[in-house]
Amino acid sequence: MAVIGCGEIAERAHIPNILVEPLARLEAVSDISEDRLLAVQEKFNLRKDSCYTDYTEVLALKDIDAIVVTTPAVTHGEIALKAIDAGKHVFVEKPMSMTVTEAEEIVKSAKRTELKVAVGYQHRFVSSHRIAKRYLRTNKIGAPFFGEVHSETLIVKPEEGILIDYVVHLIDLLCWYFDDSRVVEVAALSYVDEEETEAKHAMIIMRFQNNVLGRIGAFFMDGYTSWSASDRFVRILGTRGKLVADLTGPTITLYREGSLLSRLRGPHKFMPKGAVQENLPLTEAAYRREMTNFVQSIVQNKKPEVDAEQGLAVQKILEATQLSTREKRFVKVNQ
Amino acid sequence: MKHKVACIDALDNIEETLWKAIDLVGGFNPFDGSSIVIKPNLCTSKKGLGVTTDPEIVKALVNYIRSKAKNCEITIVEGDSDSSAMVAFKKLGYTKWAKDVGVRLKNISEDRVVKLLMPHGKRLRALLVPETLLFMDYFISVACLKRHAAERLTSIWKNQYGCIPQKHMRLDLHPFMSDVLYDLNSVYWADLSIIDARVGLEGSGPIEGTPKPIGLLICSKNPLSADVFAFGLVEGKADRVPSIHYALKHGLADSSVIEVVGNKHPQAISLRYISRLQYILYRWGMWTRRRGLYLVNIGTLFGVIGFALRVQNFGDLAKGKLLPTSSWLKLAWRMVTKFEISERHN
Repeated sequence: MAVIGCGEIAERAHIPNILVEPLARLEAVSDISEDRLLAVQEKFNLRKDSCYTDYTEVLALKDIDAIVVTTPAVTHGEIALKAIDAGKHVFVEKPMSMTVTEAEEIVKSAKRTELKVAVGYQHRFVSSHRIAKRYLRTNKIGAPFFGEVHSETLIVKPEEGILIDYVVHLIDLLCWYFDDSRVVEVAALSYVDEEETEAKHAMIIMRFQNNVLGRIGAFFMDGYTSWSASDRFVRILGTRGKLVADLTGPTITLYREGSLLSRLRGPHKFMPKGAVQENLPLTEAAYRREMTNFVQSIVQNKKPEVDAEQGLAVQKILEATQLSTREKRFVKVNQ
Repeated sequence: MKHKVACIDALDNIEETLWKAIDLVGGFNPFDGSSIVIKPNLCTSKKGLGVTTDPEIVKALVNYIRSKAKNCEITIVEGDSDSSAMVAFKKLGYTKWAKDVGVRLKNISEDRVVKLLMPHGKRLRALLVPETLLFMDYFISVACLKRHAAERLTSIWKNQYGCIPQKHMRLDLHPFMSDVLYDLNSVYWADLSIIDARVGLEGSGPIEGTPKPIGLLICSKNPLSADVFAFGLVEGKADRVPSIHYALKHGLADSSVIEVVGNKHPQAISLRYISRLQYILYRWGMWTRRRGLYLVNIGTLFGVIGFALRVQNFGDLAKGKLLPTSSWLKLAWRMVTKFEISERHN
């Protein structure tokens, strides 16, 4: 495998995760900054000849089966397409591209070449979300009629803005909860600081094909220093109960109409059995599972958990959201 | 408010007796389509009068429930003990009957589990809850009346100890039995409690004792009241039993206000017990083991701090980037003084 783009997420998650992945071997890393390359090479004790400042050289390497793209968002689509053309499987960080057209090209290329393309929406791999989704799917809270993701974040790349850098995660997660059900229409508002060009805060309402209503609220807590001030959760309301899952933390709050535990203590909070502490986030484990899933999809020739088509679906909702914020109206999502 | 406890002569026809007892405490009327869990006491797979719950009484109970709500999903649960719960079900005569009448048998030691947080737990800060119990609508506890070497007497209140899915954790937490039972019953508060005291167990229970005919059936909608009444008959005062004393002292004293209904009002039940010296040694043993468990928790705390430092560096932790310092200290205190029923102990 090779990693293109050695920024924070590559250094913190993807490179170490590839290094411990038993079915993978890290053969090359690439970054336009020589200083970043050197820092990564020293930190992970990589061979000097495995570091490249020109990513096209990495794409030309015959030993590489898969590329992990963790460059700035504007370059995702271009690099992913080039990697597919070079015959490599691709893991691309979110968003898959900057436009629907480019995302559609990626989907077509992936289909044509039968290569795996996975998109980095790691929230799906947080174990508490997987439990909550299983309860939703098995009708434990009845039929869902509303889903919401609310997140106050301390980290947003100012040059990308909250929609591209962060809201895409929340869109993907909410769609995943509803089994990738199509979003029919969206309406969105965003807040842009006078000195900035990109949005810092955004609110989206949406309607799914099955008439379920959705709402996303994302807020950049610029200047805040502690995550303890930040509320981040997914809330699903059903006809027989409700589920609230921490966005990255381990806890799930459940209320189920009529059940003994809800009568006695409800709503009550629980965690996946392996979670150590309710305050420790599960993000690192989610990144690890995400990479394992990508590697296994290649080795076992199966669909990655978040494939290019799902990346495209998010892209379409994002584009409709951007249009809605500009034109201040409901926008149909063309899926 | 007085809690009704039915005490009636256990006639030959156990079904008639049980139905009468349930009706005397106000009946049991589940909503149609509900999920009902019955927890018998199958602490061993060896057949023995007074040691494990007689399947005949569970059969009578299932018939009662079906007469009230036809479309309920009834599940009988038990965890592993000296053998797998499924082996116990089979040896004790539950398996074939359950299949015939469409009742589900569930080994909760093999069920999917989640970790329930217990912010107000007396001794538990988290508890592994099998999903069958997480989503049940009604819970019915059916137990025997038994002598217990370290606890003097056990019945309904301690039957819920078997809702801890892991056998090892049950053994580990014996020194904190009273506190843990309080916490467990706060989660699994039985909607209906039935004590099958047709035959009691005397001597060194809860498994090795000697069966003794008593001829009673006790029933209540308050699990603690059922035990308070039954233990009062044996011990004179129910709070001589440590776990009952603890529960009554910690906010559940109301459960000792009882109205006895039914055709039998015995003054006392005689169940022989172990010697006083043996009992004191058992209790001292528990006291010493409690100290050891606190030391284990201190060790675990160091491990968790180490884990937290993998996610955040010490400077950020100290500055309160993840949580304020006071919250960390509170967490640390809870980690040392309270316990977690988790898979790590397996």
